[in-house]
Amino acid sequence: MDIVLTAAAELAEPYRLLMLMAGVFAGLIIGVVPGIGGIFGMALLLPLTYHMDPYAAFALLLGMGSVTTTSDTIPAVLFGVPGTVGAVATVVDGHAMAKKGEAARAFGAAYMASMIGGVFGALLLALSIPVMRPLVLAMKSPDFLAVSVFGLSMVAMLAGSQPLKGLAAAMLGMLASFVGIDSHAGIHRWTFDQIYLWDGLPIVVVFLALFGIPEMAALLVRGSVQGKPSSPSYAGMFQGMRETLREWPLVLRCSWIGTVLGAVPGVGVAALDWIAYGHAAARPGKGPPFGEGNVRGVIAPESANNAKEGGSLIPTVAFGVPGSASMSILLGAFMVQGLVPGPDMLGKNASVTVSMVFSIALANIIGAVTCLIMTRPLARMAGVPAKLLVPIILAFMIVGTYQASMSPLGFVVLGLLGFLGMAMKELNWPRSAFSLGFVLGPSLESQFFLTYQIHGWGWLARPIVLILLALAVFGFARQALAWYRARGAKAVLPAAPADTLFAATVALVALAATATALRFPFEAGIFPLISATVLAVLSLAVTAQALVRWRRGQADGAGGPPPAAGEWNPIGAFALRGNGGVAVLCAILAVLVLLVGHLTASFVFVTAAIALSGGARLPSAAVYGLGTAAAIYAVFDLLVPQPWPAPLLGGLLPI
Amino acid sequence: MRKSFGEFIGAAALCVAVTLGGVAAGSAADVVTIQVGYGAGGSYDMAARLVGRHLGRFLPGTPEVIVQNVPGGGSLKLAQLLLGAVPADGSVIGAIGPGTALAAKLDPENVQFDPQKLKWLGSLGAVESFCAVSKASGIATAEDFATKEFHIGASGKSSTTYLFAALAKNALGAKFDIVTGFDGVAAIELAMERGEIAGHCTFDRNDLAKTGMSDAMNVIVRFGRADVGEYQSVPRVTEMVTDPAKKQAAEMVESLRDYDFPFVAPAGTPDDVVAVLRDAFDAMTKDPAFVAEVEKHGEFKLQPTSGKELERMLAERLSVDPAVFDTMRQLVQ
Repeated sequence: MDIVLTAAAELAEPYRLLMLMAGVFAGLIIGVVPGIGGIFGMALLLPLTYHMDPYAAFALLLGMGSVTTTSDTIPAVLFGVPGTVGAVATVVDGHAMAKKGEAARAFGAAYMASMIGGVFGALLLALSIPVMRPLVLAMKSPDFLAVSVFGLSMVAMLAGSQPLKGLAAAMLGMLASFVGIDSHAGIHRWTFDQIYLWDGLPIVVVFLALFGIPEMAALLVRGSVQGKPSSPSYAGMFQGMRETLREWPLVLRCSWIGTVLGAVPGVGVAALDWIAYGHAAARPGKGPPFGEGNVRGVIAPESANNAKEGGSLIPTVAFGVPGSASMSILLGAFMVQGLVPGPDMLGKNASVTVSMVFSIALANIIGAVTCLIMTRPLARMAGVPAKLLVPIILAFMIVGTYQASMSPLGFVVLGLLGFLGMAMKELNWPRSAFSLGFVLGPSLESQFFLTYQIHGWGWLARPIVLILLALAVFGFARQALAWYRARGAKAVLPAAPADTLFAATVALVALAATATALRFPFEAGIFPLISATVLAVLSLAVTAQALVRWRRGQADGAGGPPPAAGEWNPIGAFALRGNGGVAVLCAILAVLVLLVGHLTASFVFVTAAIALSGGARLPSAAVYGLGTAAAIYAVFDLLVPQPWPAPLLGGLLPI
Repeated sequence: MRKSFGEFIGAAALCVAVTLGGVAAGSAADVVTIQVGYGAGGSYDMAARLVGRHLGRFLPGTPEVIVQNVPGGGSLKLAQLLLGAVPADGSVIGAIGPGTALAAKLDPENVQFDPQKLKWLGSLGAVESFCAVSKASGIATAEDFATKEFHIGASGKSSTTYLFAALAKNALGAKFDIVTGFDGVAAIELAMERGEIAGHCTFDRNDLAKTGMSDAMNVIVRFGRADVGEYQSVPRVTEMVTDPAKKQAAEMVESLRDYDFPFVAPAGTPDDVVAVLRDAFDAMTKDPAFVAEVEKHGEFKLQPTSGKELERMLAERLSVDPAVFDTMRQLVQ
């Protein structure tokens, strides 16, 4: 108890509270801007802590880290563009709600869930302090593996109305995650002689491309986020907040998921989000189906991703093993402060650990309240015309991508995966399943090999492993049964020719991957080989199905059966035009950034695009352009001075 | 919609036209960037940021020094970028891992990289490595280590955790298994505490000085030329190898421990600029404020090597009979 009081008293000093607030506001901004997230924020703030005391330093860092997953909901719900990788699962139902004019309700539910989840995570962290070390030591490699297997079984919940496509999408995601140098044999897997790919496809760019780009196309076609204009009200927000409170069992279960999985190294925030989402999807409750704006689809990931901060501190504090990527940077702060993670943090330095608990809890409350206050003006943006919004959002996405990689190849990856995302969106391949495969692939592979090298096959006899595997099998089987019962049900499906073509292309990629994976040495090749082979089989089956539909000339559209349920949300007739438009815009902006640098490029691009599309007249368009460039300058240059690569035309003109 | 799409294409043309007229070159000659080949938060990042806070004072015009992370491939990505993709005028300095010097010799298939093209400015530390195992593992002596079956933890096969474990195993003909794929040394040590593996081969004295570590560990063998104080009596692997060819190859791997935290200037940096940077680096390593901050951090022991000396060591090493490298690759398989 003394320790708790000491920690509270230490943290209550004005300077330290100020640091906490500063961290929270920095975190809220970092969360909103796509392309940068908590890891970026940690790296950014770490040097500022060199001359602080430990309480202030951790208040600043944890204040920031705790709330990026609160504010990243804003672009996710409004535009379908995840603010950080922790908001990708929120996009699916949150953005669907915004399109129906329920942005304020989605925000209310999300922030409430974030706040409860965050405080709950902190509470679990506090309770675990006395037993932290034995707890972490009790979990051995096989248990981590079983957690990953269990997580992957959630793909059944995400597979959507055409389960073959869902499973294939998960395999495709897993295959994509194996790009890069493998962590065992050091073999180059599909790096195509590009250093850029050595560390794999950058997760930030993958999710921006997969979710953000296709949503921009849809926005362009639709004209504004929300079809029918209606002014958002606080009533909607309070409704959302009440719904979260009413769903408290779900909130608590997902907070558990977030905290516990947050403590498992290798299972990142992106993975635990999808696992929480899949968990909620198993029992959809009232309201529209998952993927079409079910509020539970917002509550689940939002409670989980804020709870993870407390969880990922557990192995960090107790053993110096980072529970997440941003925690590895937090370890740098331990070093600076001369603190050694381990028994001391639970003994003589326990008050610092307890102050971390307070910091996380306080930050979550301040963050959520701030967001709630800003809900109404923000929700209004759902009515802003696409002609204004799309160029501005694209500017942030493109600059964010460039910032993450500092290489033109970042744009190439964004473009290629953007096309993949567009096709998946139009053709009912669930991007959620792809994401789950992508985020769990590496941990599944590395934990399998660690387990196998240490335990052989004996690991299968461990009780935790048996329970988790049984749960995975049970959940999957139950869902498979549902698929079997629903077979043959009539529903509108994507146009058969395009469907056939895309599935056949995926099958070709899978076959090529299988052929090349055969040449990898066993330990580097087996996982890619398995996922490529399964993908080949599944995508061939999808191709065959689509081909049969094509030959039969099944009628699509009007008067027929209802559209297939789930996250399938195609643009439809104008898809090519919308997608083409966004592709061209992205290409232009990317080239501009390379030629003249990110600031001039954003200004010129936004001004010209808005003026020429008739979104506003030139003087106002220039104001939007200037505003965008100024905001980008504030975030990407002032907040952290980054040495940007010299623009190609930079040296040509003597200014 | 058709109309606005056409207009967007028009926007494209305008964009290009307008920008061509208004390029502003943002050159900032008064800023020096230290690029680090590793992610934020690690020991290389910390070392680079430490240098970043001091080096500017010793450079003409006291420029602002900023640090940028360019992680990838254990700093090989940055090392390759330094061969031509960054300005070679003294405005960019690289902080890379010492392993880059031998990377091309260790993995000739994937790495084509000539470290002698870089301009080595100096290094901050020199470290030793110990193979140490937990007392709970029951491995107490070099003989146990060579004859019993147990697990040693490592990251990927190109990491130093693997190189030194493999070198110890092959040089001593030991029977232990090397478990690869751990995500860093902290994860290896956690697995050791859980009892899943016995230990690893990249402990240094700082690690062993951590609370409780020295009581719980048996230090078995060591690598490195540097004096290791109280651990001087621990047998050194390269001295235990009798076959001359093998010994030379083992010493080649061991030489990775001769210096740590090296800083380099990009290939093609003019000699006079290199000289200025080297002088600044040397002066910084002798500066009391810098020395005090290194000691406060306690991340590594300051044992600087000058750029000239690094260059000489590298040239000497890389000029040996190519057969030595073949033997070296076998030793760390």
